[in-house]
Amino acid sequence: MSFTRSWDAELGATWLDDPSLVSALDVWVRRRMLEHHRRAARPAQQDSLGPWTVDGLVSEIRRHAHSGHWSWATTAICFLQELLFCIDDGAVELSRHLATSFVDEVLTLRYLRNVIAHPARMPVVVGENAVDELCFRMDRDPEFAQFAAELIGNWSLFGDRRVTVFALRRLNTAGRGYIRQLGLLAQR
Amino acid sequence: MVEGVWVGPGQHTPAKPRSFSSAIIPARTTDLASDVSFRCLDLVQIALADNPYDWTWGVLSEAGIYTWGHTIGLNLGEPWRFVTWALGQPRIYSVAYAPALSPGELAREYGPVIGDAARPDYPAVQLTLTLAP
Repeated sequence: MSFTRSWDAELGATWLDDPSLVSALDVWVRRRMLEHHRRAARPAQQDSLGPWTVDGLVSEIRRHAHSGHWSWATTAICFLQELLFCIDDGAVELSRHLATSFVDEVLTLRYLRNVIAHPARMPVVVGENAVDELCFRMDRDPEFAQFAAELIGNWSLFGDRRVTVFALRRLNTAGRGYIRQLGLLAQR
Repeated sequence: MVEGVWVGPGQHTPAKPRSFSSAIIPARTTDLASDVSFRCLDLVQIALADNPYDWTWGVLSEAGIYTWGHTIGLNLGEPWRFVTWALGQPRIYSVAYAPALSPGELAREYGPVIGDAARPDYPAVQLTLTLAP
């Protein structure tokens, strides 16, 4: 079971541990932010566009994980997902041009975001909720299937390291796909 | 300009990367080869307005210290290091904030060209780098 793999090893296997890729996405996102500000006739500078940046969020993921604050590390991953995959259109929905090859990974992270970022949202009588949707997707991964079955009945486990690792791997796949789609690798 | 890598607490010193996303500008009087400690500006990558995939170096201002990972860490009192291969073998420096510089002070300490890469409306972040034992 690779659940026994250290956090450093998990992170080290992702684009989040590659400063040149983090920087490529950071610069691209800041530029898109700047364009949205300018379109709205708002004066803006690239170093002060908002509280969340790729570089800052990656450091927060690392910081919280090293402190064992898994729920906050997961939260930072969810925020980074939204920043990366929504900024092109500058709203809260997925940007329209995302390649289909990794959209499913992003959708999985968005179900997780709905659980993490809407703490008062409770189950309803009819229909599935974000927890169901997330656990259904987590169940597809053999490594996480057993945990998914436990998680669906114990929501407090969203503060568990395994959720952070699951989210990190989804973000890695989607982020690498997006880097390729944007042609950022060739620039580095 | 001296390129390098920011290394935070718990992070291992990396191998020399193929390209650098971080850099500093030592103060004019600095002798990198012999100075154990010196002041410098913090350079960050800034996208060019006319090319979505190109960028240039900009001097980090106090307006941006909450948006880069290493300055977020310095704000929290974390021990960050700067690693450079500019002299061949890797050199590791500990990092601390030094007094910020007004746009008018920049040219005096760092030369006239620097002003163009810095924000005119905010003080520039200045760091003290000290060679780690």
